[in-house]
Amino acid sequence: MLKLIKNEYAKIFLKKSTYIILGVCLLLSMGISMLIQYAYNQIDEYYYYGELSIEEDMSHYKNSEYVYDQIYYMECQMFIEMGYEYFSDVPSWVWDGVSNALYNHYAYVVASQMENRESAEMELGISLEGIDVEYEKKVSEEMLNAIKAGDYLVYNKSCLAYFDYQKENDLPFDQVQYEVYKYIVEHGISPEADEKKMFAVNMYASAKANYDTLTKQRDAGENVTEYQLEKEKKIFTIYQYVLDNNIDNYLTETLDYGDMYEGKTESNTNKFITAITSNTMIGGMAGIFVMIIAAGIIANEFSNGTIKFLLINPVKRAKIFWSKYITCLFLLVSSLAVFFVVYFLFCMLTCGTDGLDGVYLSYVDGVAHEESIILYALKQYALSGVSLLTSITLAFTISSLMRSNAVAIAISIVIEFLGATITMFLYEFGHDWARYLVFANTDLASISKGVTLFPGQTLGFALVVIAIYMVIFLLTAYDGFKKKEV
Amino acid sequence: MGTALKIEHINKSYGKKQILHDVCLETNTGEVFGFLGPNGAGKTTLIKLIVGLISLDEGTISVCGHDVEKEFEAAMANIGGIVENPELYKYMTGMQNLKQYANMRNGVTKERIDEVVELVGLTNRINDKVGKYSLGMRQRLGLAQALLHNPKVLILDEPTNGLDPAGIKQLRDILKTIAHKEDVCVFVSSHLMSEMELMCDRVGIIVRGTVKSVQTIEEMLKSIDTSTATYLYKVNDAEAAKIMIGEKYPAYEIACDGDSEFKLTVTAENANELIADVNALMISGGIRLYGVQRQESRSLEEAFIELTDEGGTQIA
Repeated sequence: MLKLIKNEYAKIFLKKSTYIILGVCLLLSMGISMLIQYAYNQIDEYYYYGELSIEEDMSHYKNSEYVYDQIYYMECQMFIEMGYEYFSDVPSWVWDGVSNALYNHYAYVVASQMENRESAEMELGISLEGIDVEYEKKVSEEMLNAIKAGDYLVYNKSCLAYFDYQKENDLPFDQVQYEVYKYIVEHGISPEADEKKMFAVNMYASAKANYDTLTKQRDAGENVTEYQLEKEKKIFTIYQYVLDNNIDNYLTETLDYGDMYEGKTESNTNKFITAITSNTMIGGMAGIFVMIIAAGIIANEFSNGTIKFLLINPVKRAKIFWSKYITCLFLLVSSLAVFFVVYFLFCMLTCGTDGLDGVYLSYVDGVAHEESIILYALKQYALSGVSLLTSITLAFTISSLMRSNAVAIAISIVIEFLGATITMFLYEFGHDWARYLVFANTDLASISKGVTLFPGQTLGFALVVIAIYMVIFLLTAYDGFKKKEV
Repeated sequence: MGTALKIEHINKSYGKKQILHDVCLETNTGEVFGFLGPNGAGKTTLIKLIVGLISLDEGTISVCGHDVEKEFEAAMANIGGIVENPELYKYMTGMQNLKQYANMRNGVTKERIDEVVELVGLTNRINDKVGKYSLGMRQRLGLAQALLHNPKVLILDEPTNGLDPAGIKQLRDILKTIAHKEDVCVFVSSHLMSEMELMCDRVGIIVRGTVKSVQTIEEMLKSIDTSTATYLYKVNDAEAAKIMIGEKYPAYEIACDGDSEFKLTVTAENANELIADVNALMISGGIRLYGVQRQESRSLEEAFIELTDEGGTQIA
């Protein structure tokens, strides 16, 4: 049997066309990855303001009656004063700080000075009842001075003090921001030095605040589902883990169970991590390469006439059949490995090696779990291999039934590309039986995360359906090959 | 000498068309067996059945005592062959092709491969791609492939196709040597009697799916009628000559061929004298004799064509 498999390998790899197909598939997968990266970079460039547009904006805001516009005018003035030429130059923490300070404090000042106080209150959605205008002014100046001096920690301390003041006086305040400031002050984080950490702090704080609010609401007898609570807990547990362990590069799922959306992943935009985990074409192209080989592995013998010399050997047809199938399987595994390694090196080359130590964070039974991002990417990749296994078995079956390799390859690839679309159509038109189609079950990576086209599809169900189809495919192929008159 | 192939009561149809009708054959080791038939007689079908490429409708085939259907691997271990054209992997070299087949059979050593390559005369070109081979070279490579594992039965479907005259002679010598020295049964199919005559010990003739005769070459030659001699006469009045001769020599066979020609058949023994008498009779009877020519005796080729020709020559 081993010798037979060796023979099949020789037949595949002594052929020049094999290398051409392999090269094309590799190039395509890399090329698509590059296009995706290029597109991402293009999107970044949309956020660009020119000097003229800002001046135009400011002249418009200056004469506006609206409080918001006036705050915005002051914001612009402040940035120019601080030496930022364009808005795109302003670091996000400065922007946030100035906006907060101006909104939270100048708003009151402006509103209290205005003749028509009621309309200002309406516009801002706040009440100026019982507000100490002098105190507001003092605090806001303190904050702005801290920002101008570039000391975010001092700014945060005054924010926190201000929130404490509001809390004491039973005034409404921003629960999420409160948590953020609290965390920054407690842990002495300087945002100008660590923007990545700020992202995690924000994520943590907002989830924590939401969780606390939801808990309170539940305790007060309001209708809060366990699912809502769990979702927030998941987020803050994971980000707390990120903060506690000083993790720089990570990827995590903030996906909702049972959501109809594609699995949305969030990372702190490490290019390497994004590249290595987001390219689904790598497995796909490896699959197409093996599919072309599998579709030809039997049909080629017929179209070249070599089948006669193959079958007059003292080897049962069954053995030849299975050695060909096993060759396809070996080839699938090895080309998946080759494509992954090549893509991995490609990512390192184009995105740098920063993300190599990155981790994937998951939430299991109330605890955050950490695993190497490379291992995670490999696992996702391996799961996509299962769907490729069915495609390749199908291609192999068609190969066994056809005498022309070109027809076999064409049919396999058409089915591969149309299968998912047809399933989608059937779903859209309400044919629930389509869940028993193999194409509705091959995306194990998504199914394992609970993202399914048909409601209630489980991993176990998918695996059973795939197994049944594989058996049917292989039996058909085997029967066809064994009975074929040469 | 032992039984190599034993084919018993075989029937095979493709769809509604029956190709083979109750075929029985037995061949021995140590002989070159020629399997002769016109195009479409079912030669290739029978060969495909022997090597298990297609399945039997009825009957049994055994190779060195192993049933082809029940003990496929044991039966095939004793068979080497070329079926139809020698179609090999064109993108591989001759040697890589042979290694493919060596891997599928037991006990084929590197030395054996070299030996076989030498035997078929491909040593110089064995590392070239098969795509660049001529038909004759591919035929030789096919033969090398068939001989790799020292099979007891060698089955060759029209092996001289594409070979030059020197190659055909060489092949003939190789096959005879293998059969007679190494006690192998060489089973060769062909539609050319002349080829078989030089190569084979025994010949089986198949016509439209039925085996007509199985004879040694000697038996065939003997069976050809050499006891009579036929002469072609050119005269001014064939009909009158026929009547005249018939009256005097009623035992002679006369066939008119047009107004001025007829054929006369007499016993081969002292034919010259008999013919001289006939000539004298005709001349004295006033018939103008323009010429007499002795016809060649029938060859095996004619015998074969006669045997396979019945029922018309159209190719269905």
